[in-house]
Amino acid sequence: MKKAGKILCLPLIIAFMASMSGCWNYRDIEDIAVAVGMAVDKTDDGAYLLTTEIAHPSDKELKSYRIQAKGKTIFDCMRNTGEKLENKAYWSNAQVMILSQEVAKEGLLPVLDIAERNRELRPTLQLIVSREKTARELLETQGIATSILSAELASILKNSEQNISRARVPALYKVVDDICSEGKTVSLPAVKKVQDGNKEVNELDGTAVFSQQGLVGFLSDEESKALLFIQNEIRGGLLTVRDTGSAAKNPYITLEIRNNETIMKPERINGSLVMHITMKSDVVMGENDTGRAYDGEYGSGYLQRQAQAMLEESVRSLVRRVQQEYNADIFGFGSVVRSDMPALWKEIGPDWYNGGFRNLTVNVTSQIRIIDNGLLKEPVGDGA
Amino acid sequence: MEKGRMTSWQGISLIVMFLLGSQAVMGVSSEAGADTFLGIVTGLVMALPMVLVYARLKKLQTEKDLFDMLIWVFGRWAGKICIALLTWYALHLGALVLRNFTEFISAVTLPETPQMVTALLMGLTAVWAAKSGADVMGRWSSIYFVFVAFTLLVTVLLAMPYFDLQNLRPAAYNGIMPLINGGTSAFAMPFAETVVFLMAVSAFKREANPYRVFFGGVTLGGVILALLSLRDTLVLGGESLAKRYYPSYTAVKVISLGDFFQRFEIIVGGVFLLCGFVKAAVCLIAAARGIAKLSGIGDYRKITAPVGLLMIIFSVIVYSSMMQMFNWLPFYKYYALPFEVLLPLIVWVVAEIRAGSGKKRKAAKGVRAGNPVA
Repeated sequence: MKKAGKILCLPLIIAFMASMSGCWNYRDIEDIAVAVGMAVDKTDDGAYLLTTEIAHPSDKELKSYRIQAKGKTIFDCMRNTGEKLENKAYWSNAQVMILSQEVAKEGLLPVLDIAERNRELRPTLQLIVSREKTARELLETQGIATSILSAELASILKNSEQNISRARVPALYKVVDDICSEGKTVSLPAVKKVQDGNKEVNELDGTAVFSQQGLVGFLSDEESKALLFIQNEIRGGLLTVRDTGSAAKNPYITLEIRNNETIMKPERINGSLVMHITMKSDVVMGENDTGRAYDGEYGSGYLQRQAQAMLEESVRSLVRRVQQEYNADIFGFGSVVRSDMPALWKEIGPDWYNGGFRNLTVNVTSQIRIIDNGLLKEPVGDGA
Repeated sequence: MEKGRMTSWQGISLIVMFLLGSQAVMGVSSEAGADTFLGIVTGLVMALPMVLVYARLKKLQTEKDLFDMLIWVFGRWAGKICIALLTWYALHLGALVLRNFTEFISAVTLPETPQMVTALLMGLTAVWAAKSGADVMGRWSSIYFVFVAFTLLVTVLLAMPYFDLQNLRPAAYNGIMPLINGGTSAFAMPFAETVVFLMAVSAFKREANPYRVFFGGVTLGGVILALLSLRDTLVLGGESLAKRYYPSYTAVKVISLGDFFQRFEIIVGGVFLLCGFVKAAVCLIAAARGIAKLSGIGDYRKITAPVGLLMIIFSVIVYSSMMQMFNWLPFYKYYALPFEVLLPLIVWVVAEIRAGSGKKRKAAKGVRAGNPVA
């Protein structure tokens, strides 16, 4: 009897196994349209216009096509995309989301809300601000090496972050942190399109500056580098220094940054707040066009002082410009004050953007060490 | 009653997995923002004396479980009412745990699957585990705990490049109150929930020391929870942490090792599921034992299946939405106070007095009979 029961259980077990290994909303890979990137614009009547790039693996090559959909919210657009697609869009592989300046000016709230609330979009999604009139233009250029523009944009940003330090490339969760924290505002990479030979391609173009309300302006490439120095996010890149004492035709030396550490320290001096920014960088000589050997009379100390003065000046002028023109604390000075002097921040925090940030005195010090001259002991000519 | 008994290590791993249960996905008192981690440590410190009381009870009761002691302390009728209350608590807690997990699964991976289905899958497995007994659960968790600890450790190590130490400062910006608030929340959920073990586990091995099991288990579990919340805060930042429903899951989502190894969150989700299963099964054993005691059924194993089904159905109807589930959390500590603190304390005090007087009586008897007092 007991054995018969056991045998009767067997079909039941098999039936269970069959039904439970599946999943309620299973989708075959052939039946999904893989979205790799999105561009968010606003139409004249105030609705969102979402342009989605969808990867389309055909027989031989990987291609992509674009689909546009309108909607009252971004999620609405994402669903409306489906009206034109034969397959359901799959968003987990979306790598970039490009925002038009118009959208960015209205603030990041709608964008961040959908990106963080939606279960398919991932926190590694990269936000980009378009410097062109619309965001979708950037998805309509020609790629240099690959035909999938979103993937190329993501690689450009990644390369910049790791090697050339030309724009801050914050991951989505970092943007959320910036927007939630007191005394810090968001900065995002900006991209424009340029003519390269007979092709139209995308190029990284500095940083978009956000106040608490939304986009307020842009920083150039050089300014973006200074921003990264302040934020301690330099991971490489070049410093091109002019030797003011040189009479060479091209009196420039390019130093390659190996290492940088920036420390921000607020201090109260005579009742007013001063922010000390100390940058310690290790660099190597990348190219020397002046013909001087920078040891002996013009020792490496001489070159280091020239480079320090240049870097300090570029940081100082960036801070001044952002304070005066944008009044947006992209550097996170406020959050440093909050963590180092919590008692003081409780006083000045509420008025940070009513003069606190704008009138902050900033004291910049750079310490550059040249640790390596490359493979040349001395220049091969005198440069004159 | 039960053949197998638990060793210290099995008890410890069972308690740690129990503690990691729902808190590892829900986040412990994450409304404290950057101070979440400090809140957990505060909660752990608050919980340790209470846990000592639990261990002492276990030591005193040796062969009896908490239910027997309740009858012994309060008498037959009042004792039965107390048993009913504690049984309700265990049943309710088990349902809440099941719901946490079905809600989590539907929020992050299977939005279109009805929660009843996931609840059934998890609940029936828990029934099976409960039927096998607490000692089997102990052996099972002593093996799986290694895997769980290893995986969580790996996520902490891999998350290190994403750490921003600035996120922890300034400590206690909003004063001491959020810390105490977070501490009491962490005390009630999950640390003092270990009271369920007094009901579910009848005996440890003779050489197993209940102090070591409870103290070691809760401390280890607390340290792991604190470490996980430290990881979440360092990656996401305090304010961003406080805004999220499943901070641990989001924090792990961020991790990638090169371009190749990413999307670890599904492994972590699985690990949490294992822990939640332990918690649900332990609660189920406790509830079934309570009901068996109340209704005079000798072996609780006979009724694990009906009690388990009750728990599953209860988990489906206990909240009407995800928001309700999270909004309930702040009130949980007041609700759980009588079960976690008041009842065990009363039982402990009475038991100590009786044990003391019993010893005295014995000693007095010994003197009267002319035997030397040991």
